[in-house]
Amino acid sequence: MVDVRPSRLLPRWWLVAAVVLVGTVLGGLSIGPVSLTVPDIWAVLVGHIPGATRSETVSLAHEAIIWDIRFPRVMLGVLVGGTLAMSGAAYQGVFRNPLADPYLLGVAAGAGLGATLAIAIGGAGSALLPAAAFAGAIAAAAITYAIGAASSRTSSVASLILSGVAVAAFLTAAQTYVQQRNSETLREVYSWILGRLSTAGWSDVRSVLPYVAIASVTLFALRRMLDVLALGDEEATALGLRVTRIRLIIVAAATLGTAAVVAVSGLIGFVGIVIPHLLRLIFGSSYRLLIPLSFIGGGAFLVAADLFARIAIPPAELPIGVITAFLGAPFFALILRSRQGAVR
Amino acid sequence: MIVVRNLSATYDDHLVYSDVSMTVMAGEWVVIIGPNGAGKSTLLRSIAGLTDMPGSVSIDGRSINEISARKRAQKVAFVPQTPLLPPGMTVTDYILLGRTPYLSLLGTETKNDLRIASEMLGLLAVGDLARRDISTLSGGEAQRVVLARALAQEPQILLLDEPTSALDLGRQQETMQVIDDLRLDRNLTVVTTMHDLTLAGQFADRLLLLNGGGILAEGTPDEVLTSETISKHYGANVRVIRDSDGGVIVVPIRTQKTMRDMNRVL
Repeated sequence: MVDVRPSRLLPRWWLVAAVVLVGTVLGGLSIGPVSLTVPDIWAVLVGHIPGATRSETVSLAHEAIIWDIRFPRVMLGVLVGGTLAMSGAAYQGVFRNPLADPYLLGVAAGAGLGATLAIAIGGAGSALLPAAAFAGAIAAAAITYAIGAASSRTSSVASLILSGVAVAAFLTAAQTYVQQRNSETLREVYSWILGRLSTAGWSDVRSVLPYVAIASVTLFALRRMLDVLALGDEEATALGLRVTRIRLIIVAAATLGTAAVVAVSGLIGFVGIVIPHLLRLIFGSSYRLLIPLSFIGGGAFLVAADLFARIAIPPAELPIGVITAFLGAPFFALILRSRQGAVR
Repeated sequence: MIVVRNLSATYDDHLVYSDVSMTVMAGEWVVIIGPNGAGKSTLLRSIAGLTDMPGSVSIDGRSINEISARKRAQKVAFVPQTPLLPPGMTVTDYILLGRTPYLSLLGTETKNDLRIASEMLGLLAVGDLARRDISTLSGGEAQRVVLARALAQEPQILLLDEPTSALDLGRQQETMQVIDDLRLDRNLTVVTTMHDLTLAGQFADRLLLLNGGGILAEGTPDEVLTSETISKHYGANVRVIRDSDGGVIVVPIRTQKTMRDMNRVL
């Protein structure tokens, strides 16, 4: 008998992934204008376990920096980066298209229009912004899906992608128009478009968490179905899958997660496309591995990028969307070059 | 047993075939032949339940529309002419996908699923390839792996669209022999489409000639493969040789020397 083992992550790789994530989180918590030690961080985190008493060894100021400023920011980084990378992997699987990213179905353009409208109407720092961006993203994806699913002449995958292009173009034009009519808010709009974690507080983490949880649980549960879909619609159907329904569930989950994180963090590019491909180069193309690993890898990458954005040109902060592409692109090119031929 | 009644197919409002009826007995190997565009692949996909064309297909007395997609996939395995072999997927993972009809939506493989995948790797002699990336296999290796994936479904019926079209002569014979051995071994019902008439004649119990909107000839290779039938339906010049051991050999022959001669004939 041949020894048959499906692609599963070896325990040592789980360990590496956990160490990388915990390491970047600790880095994000301790490094900054005020340096903090790991024991201090530990004491503060333990002190916030319900029922525990506050440690006396850490000053109130340090505690506030850790618990009220850095910790929510790092947590949001993990949730945003993880969701974007995981959703990107899911989109690439479901559309069998390596260039698919979480913004494929017009989500970015829809969120952009929503955010611009909120800023134009409510002014800078509008409390409406996340809700408007979220609504815009969901509406754009729904319109794309309605158009793409209605045209059955070409393959449903290709027509969905094409209708996403059309919807994105239309919404971007609308967004640009609104932006030009309200040029005094240009700066605020750009700051959102370039992506930011700098304003993160616990309320942001709380608002995205339910959506991220729904998206992650759904995509993790359906990760094997993504492998079946890789065989093409016809063979997946022949293997007993209800392809249209499963594709809709996966797209809905990925879009919901993406829309939620975009609403609080703006348009952070690159994570959703590069992290899954990087992991593919190393671990192969099975979505059983790619879905969980993309979440961990995307989360760690965004926390690291945010750390760099904070410390690169103090006291100013770089927009995180600039960092993800500026650091991520050369790194990806390097891996692509070195792994070419070794693993396809 | 597969019973097909009054199947029709249209493509872009153009009728491909209509009222096709046929019966395939359990354990039989039927090969659908016919020129390009006659609708062989569409007919095979309809039998697999992958199209929603008018007509009825039933398996062991039950209409395939009444059976759930999963139950159908436990009975019928379908292999398209050029299956997608996703880069980066291992041969093992690919064969395990054949177990999908037996898993719940959220489930993963059990020990029994792994045992069956292992058995198929051995049965098709591809055990050495188990850890390989499926997109790096040669044509013959890939064909065996795809068959292993189909057999991992533990089907009663195997539907293969042009199983030998991408293979060299030796791999063609090898693949056909493997399919025949598996058929006899596991009492599989096999329906394939094929272009190579000699090869089809060597392995099929029965041939169905699909052309001009329907089944125009049906019978043993000896009955169907005549030079008149082939030249009429394929527009080809052939010589049909009856082999001493009962085989039928179809050889294309060249009569016109130039295109101009051919035009004159036409």
